[in-house]
Amino acid sequence: MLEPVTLQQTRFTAPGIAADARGVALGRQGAVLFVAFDALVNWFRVLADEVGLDDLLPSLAVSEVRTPLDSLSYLVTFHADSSYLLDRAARLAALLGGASFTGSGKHFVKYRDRAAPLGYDIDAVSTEPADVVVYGASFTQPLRRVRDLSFEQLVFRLSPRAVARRTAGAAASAIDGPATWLAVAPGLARAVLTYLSHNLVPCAAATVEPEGAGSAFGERRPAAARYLLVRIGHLPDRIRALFAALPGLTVYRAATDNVAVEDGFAHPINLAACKSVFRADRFYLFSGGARAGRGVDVVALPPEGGGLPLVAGEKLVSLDFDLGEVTAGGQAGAASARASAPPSVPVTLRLVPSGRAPRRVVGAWLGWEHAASLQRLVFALPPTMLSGCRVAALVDGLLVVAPANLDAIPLGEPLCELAPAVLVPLGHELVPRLDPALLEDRLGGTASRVIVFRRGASAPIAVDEARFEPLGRRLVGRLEVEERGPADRSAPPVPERATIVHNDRAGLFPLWGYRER
Amino acid sequence: MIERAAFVERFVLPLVEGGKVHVSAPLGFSALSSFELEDDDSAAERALSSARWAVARELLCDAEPPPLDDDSLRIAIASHDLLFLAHPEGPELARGEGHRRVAAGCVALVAALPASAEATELVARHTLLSRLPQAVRLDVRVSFWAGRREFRGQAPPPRLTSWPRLRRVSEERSQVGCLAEAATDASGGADAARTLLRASPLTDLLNPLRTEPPFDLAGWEKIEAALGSQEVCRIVAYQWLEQGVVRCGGAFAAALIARLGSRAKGDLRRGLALLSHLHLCLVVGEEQVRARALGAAPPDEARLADFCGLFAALYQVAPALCLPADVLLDPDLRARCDAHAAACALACSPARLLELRALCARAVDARDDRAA
Repeated sequence: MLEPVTLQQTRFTAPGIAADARGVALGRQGAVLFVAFDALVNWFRVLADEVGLDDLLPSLAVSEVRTPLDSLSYLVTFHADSSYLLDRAARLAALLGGASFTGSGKHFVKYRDRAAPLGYDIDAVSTEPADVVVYGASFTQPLRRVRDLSFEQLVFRLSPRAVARRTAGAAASAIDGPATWLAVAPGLARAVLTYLSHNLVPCAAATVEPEGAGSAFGERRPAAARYLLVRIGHLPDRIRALFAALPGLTVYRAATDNVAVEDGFAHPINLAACKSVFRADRFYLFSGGARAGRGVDVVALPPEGGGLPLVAGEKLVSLDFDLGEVTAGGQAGAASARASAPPSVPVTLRLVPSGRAPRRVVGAWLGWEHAASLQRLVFALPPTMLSGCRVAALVDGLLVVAPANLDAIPLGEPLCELAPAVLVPLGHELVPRLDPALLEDRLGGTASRVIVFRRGASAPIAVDEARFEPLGRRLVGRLEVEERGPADRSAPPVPERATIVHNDRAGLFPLWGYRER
Repeated sequence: MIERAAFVERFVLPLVEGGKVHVSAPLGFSALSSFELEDDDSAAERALSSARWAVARELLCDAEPPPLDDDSLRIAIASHDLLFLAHPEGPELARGEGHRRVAAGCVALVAALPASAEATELVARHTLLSRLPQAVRLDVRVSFWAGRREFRGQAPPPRLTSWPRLRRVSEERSQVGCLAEAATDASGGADAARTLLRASPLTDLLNPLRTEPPFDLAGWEKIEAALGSQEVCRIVAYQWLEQGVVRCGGAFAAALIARLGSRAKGDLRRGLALLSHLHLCLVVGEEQVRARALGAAPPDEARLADFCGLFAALYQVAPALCLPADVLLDPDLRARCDAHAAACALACSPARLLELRALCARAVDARDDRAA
């Protein structure tokens, strides 16, 4: 039988029980008893949301126990740091139909409740043979341990459950939400990377090989079953929906740095609250739905640390244009034995008509047939309207660029700026759409040159900045517009020479024969 | 007497394209007569034609190679003789009648050139003199243990500079602007320099920032005739815009105001219209160009105030002179012009603005009176 503990009670019959600072009877351990496994899991789920399980896990033990009547129950014991922790555990256990106890070793006495705010003590210690004895308000129950369940086992054996798509989508659509991971079958790797590059979705990728024989796609494969793992900071909802319906591609949401759960599913236990379950040198992928049965994909990380050897996705998309620079190889030197950088995916840049709103005209391409018109225009316009305009005379024609806009010259083909110093014909754009910085990088840099994509040309034109001269009479006056030779028809600038007067010998009679009329 | 080909090669060609310009005994009308009879198809003349064409093409869209005709020869000979006035081997000329004869010969050579409104002809004259305002002479003063010698445009003989330590030789070099030097010569050189510049109004207008001879509108008749050509007006205005509209426009405004305030006769409406054209170029330019042009601190703020104030005064007195017909048809452009004129009025003091308004009104009314 239980007796309520009184204030300032110092002697307890139950072994290992003492009053804490608040006067609450508290043993070294806390225990929670559930009669159903679901209640046990739910208790962990709720507790993980309220307190970090990482503090509890070192002393946590989950046991299957049986009563003398052979009924099955689940007993969770853990180190009771304070009555506050046990208060919370008891409250959640009561919510889920469990009973909470405190004690140490073998004997556990019912924890405090409304009827006994300072807890309970027992009148006599049970001597029945058992592994654990719990003392309830109306019973004394000896329990026999059948087997122990490790918490890790619990986490890995529980299958992710489907969650409402709207909830999952809302969480995923947040810009600063968790990262998204894609497991891409090898055959789809090129197409997926290209698609992401088209849509300006920044990503990083690595080829991984899960431990064991399974793959993320539920296939039984030999040990060399590899796939591409792509990390994306923010995946737009429309692409997320598209990928979710694509066979051979699984979308995951990051739960922790090295744990991801399939999109649209949630692990029963908050995995972020029990990070110590997962090894730091492994990457875990929890799949749900039809693929839930094959377990968890565990990827070994390189032993030198640093996480997955991810390579920026845009560097894996090769462009066909060659401006003379040597492209870097795609091999990542730091790849581990099991995870390596995937090969580059070549993509062709194409100039296509654009439906976007027209950009500002900052340049014009003039064939040599327009040179005479340009001359007349430059001679007619005030230099204030041509301020900042520069022109380069090339074999094919004249390239005129302006710092802001080029409204003053309605000649030739207008060009707009797609990226700094990268010009395309007005109303056109490049596909795939690349980030301006990436485009500049892929074109070999635009620090000292201007790159022009022309319609119908097989390759862009790179014009060195040194070839540009201010657009004005000085340059245009030198253009040979009447000739039709193929060579550069802009005469070189005439070097400025000072006019220096030199007085020669004038002779003895310099005015001999001179007439001033 | 020097031959035509040698004269072209040693004097005219370097005068046009830069280099060493050789000056020797004065040429005058006797050389003009002989040059006209000589062969005009030498290699030097072809090179000169090419060099003059290069200068002309920077000014005219459809320029042709200018011929070395009688007018060109007069200008070239007058330039040569003008430079001879500072020749060191004619000391008796500097003190005597000979100096005045040479200067008078210069004036007579180019004063006969008629006023012209043909851009091609004006550009052809300018091609010969385009570098004259910048022509310099290198003078050397050699000091040694027994005295000193001065060499103007000549190299000192080696015997004077040898053994520099023993003879304590030191050389002092200086650079003299030839046109400016001639313009300060009171015994005829100044008249010759001014007459030469008036013979080529384009050269005169394109160098408003020169110090000597100062930019003025004394030879207004020839300038007015030149400004009758739209192409010449464009050349001048755009060149001023490139050189710095505030400095050039300020110099032109100062010359214009001086002419407006004098009793000299002449219709200055073309000059006022040219000033307005300068301001309209600023109006149609980008905002930052206008701000940069007007915001540049000039050395003489009074000139900037006059440059702006004269336009604001003219805008109030005779807006038709400031605004071409096509500007009046564009309401947006008209509004920008109004705003610019208002800003110009603020840049000038009210008293000065009243004074400029009176000058502009007198110039316009005088013209109207003459027309009536």
